[in-house]
Amino acid sequence: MAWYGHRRSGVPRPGARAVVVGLGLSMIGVLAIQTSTAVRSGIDASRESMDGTTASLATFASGISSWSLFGLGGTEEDKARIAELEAQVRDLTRWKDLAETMTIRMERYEKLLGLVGETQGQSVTARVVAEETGPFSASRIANAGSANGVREGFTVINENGLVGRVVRVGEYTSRILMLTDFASRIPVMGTRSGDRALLVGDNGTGARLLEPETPDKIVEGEVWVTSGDDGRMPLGIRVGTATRVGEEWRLNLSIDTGHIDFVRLVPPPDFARPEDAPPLGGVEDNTEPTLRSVGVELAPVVTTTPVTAPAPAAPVAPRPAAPAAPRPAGQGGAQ
Amino acid sequence: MTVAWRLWVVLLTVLAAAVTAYGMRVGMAEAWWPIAALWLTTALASFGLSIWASGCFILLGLAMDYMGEAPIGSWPLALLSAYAVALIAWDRQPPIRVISAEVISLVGGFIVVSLTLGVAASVAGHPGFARSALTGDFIMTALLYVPVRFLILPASIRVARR
Repeated sequence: MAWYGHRRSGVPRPGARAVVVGLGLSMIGVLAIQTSTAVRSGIDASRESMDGTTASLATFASGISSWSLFGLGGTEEDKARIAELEAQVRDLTRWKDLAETMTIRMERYEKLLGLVGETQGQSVTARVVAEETGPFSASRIANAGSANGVREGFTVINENGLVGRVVRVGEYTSRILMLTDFASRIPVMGTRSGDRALLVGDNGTGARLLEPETPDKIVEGEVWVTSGDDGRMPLGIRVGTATRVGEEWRLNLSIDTGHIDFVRLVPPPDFARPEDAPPLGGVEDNTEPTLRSVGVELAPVVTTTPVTAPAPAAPVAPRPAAPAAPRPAGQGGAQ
Repeated sequence: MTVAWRLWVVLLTVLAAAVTAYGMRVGMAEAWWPIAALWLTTALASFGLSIWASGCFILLGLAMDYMGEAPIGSWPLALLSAYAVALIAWDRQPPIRVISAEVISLVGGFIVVSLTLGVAASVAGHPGFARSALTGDFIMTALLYVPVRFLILPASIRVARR
């Protein structure tokens, strides 16, 4: 007898067949109930913890593949690469100093002009530890999660431009939905044409511009950036360059120019909602009926006869009732 | 089936999950990576219908669903369908040559997996499904099956069915 027992191939086993068919049908049932949002949200909770497991497996796999022979350090190529990166770090440090100086200057200019800028929260830098571009999704897993301050909806960028956004957050991992995913919808605008459109992914092969407002104004090769129209993404992050394919416009994505390893997870712009705005200090609502200007019918202006207004006599031209702010006593009248 | 065989099936399932996870490491997103589960459906069908193997396919498929952001249940259903195609090939009466059964199992498995995943995506209301993303993976699966078959398909079966 072989170690696997008697081969039963060809022997009818109706009971076993029924069980396997039942398993298949139950899978169809599992698929069907996922159309319910309640079920889907429950599954998403389990996916959060599984993202951590997937990230650990992928990291372990990366670790195995990077083991050098006998573990005796890197090759000459590795050393050259390290030297090159060290040179880049020195160069980037200089740029960082310059950028900080410019930021301080810009903040002062904005303050002088009274400009309401986009306030940004603290961003998080993370490393991509797993990649997935399959038939169902184009996503990445980064090694920073809720414990690091990452939240759902964070924008993900790298040195080349926009990567995507965070759609699920575990404790120490985040699932990043790529620009190229089917489910990705990002409002973008052209830097030259000023045209606005929705960038829609088509899973792995790129992204297309959906319903541009003025497609005839789009310029081939024009740089497109995020428009921030959804209030969830900062304005002006580079996305790619426009190219016409047949009848539709597509973007050659900036992220395709290099690997996606380190990414920055940026929180949404912190716009205060109108209902959250604090009441104006010391100013009360206008409840005095005589001071209301809304709904008051104006008397026809007659220029040939002197105006006999009940207001204090003052040599002023007749004016329609203006919204009068309450003033302290003694300061009324014509100036 | 013996306990040894069942342990062997579990070990193969874990290895297939590890191969799938290995394909998710950084820099591999655009690479063609074999669908190790299809090797198993082809090889394990040569032993005949087994509930144990079906259970392992479901667990493996669930792991693949989580890794690939697929609707839960789509890969288990696809693997069971591929297993069914492979069983039909291996259990044909009169028996066909081993190589023919393997080719039918693999190619038929590719087709049925592709179709089943598409159907599963629409049943679950998934926003999209890219069949083209599977083509390269299928080619790599077929190419690597040639050496892998010597590890997962016992010599006794290969000889007996030659």
